[in-house]
Amino acid sequence: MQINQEISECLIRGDKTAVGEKVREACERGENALDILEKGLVAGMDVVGQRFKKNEMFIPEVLACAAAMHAGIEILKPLLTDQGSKPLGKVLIATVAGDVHDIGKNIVVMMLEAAQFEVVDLGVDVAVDRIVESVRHEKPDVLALSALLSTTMPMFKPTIQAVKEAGLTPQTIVGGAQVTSAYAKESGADACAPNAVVAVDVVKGLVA
Amino acid sequence: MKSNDQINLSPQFRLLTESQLEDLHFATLHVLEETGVRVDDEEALGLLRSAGARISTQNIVHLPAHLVKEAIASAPSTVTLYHRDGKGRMLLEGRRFYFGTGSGCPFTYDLETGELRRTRKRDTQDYAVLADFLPHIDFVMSMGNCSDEPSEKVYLQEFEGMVTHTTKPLCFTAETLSDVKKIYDAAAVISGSAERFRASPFAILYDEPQSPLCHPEQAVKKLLYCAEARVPIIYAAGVAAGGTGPSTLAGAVVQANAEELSGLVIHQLKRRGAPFVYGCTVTILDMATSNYTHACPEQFIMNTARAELAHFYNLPIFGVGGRSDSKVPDFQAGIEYTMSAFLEALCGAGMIHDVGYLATGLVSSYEMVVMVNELIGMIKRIMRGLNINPETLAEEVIREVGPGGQYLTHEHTLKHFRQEFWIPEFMNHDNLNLWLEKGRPQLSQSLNGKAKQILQEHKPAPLPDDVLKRISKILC
Repeated sequence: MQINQEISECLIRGDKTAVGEKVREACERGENALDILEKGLVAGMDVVGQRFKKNEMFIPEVLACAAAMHAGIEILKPLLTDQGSKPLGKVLIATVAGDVHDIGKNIVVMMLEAAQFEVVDLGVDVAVDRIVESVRHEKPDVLALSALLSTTMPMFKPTIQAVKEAGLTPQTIVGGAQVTSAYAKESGADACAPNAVVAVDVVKGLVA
Repeated sequence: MKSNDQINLSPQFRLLTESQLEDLHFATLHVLEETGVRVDDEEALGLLRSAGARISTQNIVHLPAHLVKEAIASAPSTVTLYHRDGKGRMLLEGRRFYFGTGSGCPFTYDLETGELRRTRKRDTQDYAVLADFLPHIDFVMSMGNCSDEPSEKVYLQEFEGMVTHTTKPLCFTAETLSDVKKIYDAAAVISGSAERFRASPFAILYDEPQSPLCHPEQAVKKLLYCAEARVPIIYAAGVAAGGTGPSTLAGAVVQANAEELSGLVIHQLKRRGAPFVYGCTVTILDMATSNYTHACPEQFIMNTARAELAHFYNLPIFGVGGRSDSKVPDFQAGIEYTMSAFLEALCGAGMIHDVGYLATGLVSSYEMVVMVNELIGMIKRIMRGLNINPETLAEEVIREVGPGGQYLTHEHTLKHFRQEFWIPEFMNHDNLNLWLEKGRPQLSQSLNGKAKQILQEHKPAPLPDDVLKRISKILC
């Protein structure tokens, strides 16, 4: 129990190396892998999420904690699959055709991975065809589309439509600085999120 | 008479010493040589290669210092933009400063209903009329993105909306080179010919690289086109410290400077001496929201540094200010407008754009454009400084009035007060009682009323009918 608390504390400090060491130590001591995940890593990340919402922690710190979480999960992965643990879901994410902005999207990717989603990132300026093909191939639970510009946001609708017409049925979420709930609805998306932290909660809701 | 006399004609504001500017400059040269920039255009790569730049994998260009030095030396130190009717001009040189609006806001607050709605072509026209009227707005940008026009015509419509509703110089954006060519064709019609436009340009393109350190194909094509055509261009890097640039402010400035200067090198290699305006904006990524910020103290420092670099290089400059991240005209907007506009004026940031912006550029505001005109009036009064001469020292007058006297009825007061005092239109100086009797008037109401009045009454000089028809054919 004690070691799981130490893992949480190292994670909250964003100390990737320490988290890795302590997770290994916990495994060697025979601690249950699922316990280490839930009570050590996830518990720590939950605290980070709350502090972020209260403006006590900020994005670079949250990302460092996500990286620490990732380091811990990598060590636990073989043990977890033995125990039948799997990712919460699979998310396919892309910045739409014509748009090359990706900072927000990249933060969403890191946050989703930290929250134990499997994420396939197609990058920026991704053509509709490629998105449809990737959805067909990867079979994600959620398709996430990002656009910053008012001139590229109009790509949400035809992209989502093309995916539907191909008979594919992932849940869809859209995001970007100018995206409103009304716009998301108009575009045919199931959801939207104003920032990366909220995006994780929304995506969890979509796959639940 | 005195000897060795020196006076300050305006407040003096300096952030950095020569030595610090050199530090920034040398660091920039190191970055350009060692890290390089990515250039995604074949023609530009060819020019750079022939000039001696080393190109490594994936279009990464390493620029030797001499190329940068030569480009800075050959670029003109003055770019002049004219009023369309020739009745005025903007001299972008040295530490002169001017103010203007901003481009492409998707939303605005409706003047009648106060509703937050999408901007239409009519808004671009109205913002141009407003700017045409207001004495302290020197140049015009679209303030809207014509959501009621087909998306492939948006930039052409923005230009048409502006050029038909103001004679002041314009700054425009355009996504593709094809749009840029059409706009310049229209400009040539208005000037009478392409040569006439080139001799007295009344419009300038705003183009931008992509941070960090990339020059995308479309951006470079526009840069090369303008260089060849010898029409002025603004090439404005936009770095967000902590996101697309280092979180340490000096590093962010260095990177922005590297993006600017590498753009200048490409531009001058295409055509030595072609007009180029240095235009980067350096801000921070807000670490709570991951949003770009339009007004923060770090930005004011970094922008001052980049203005001082532009002066160090003797390049004309495109600045930014009179804008806010606030979603409404409130205290935050007041603070952010004032600090940004004042600091850009103090560091002499040339063509200072984006006045009237709210919500980090997503919303334009008629009321705030009227407000900022007032603010600039106040700033200019401060920039006129303290005039010291026997008349203003007024020793004779002080003696005449004497202890216990009054100055209100003195001839000297009557003679000077209009020049010495800035006369506010909106800053309320009523006494409390009068203000209560007037029904507690709010500034927002006065600004709204004034904007409406201007739009109703002001008629900018129109273009001749045949010109209107011809440009409409090209742009619409």
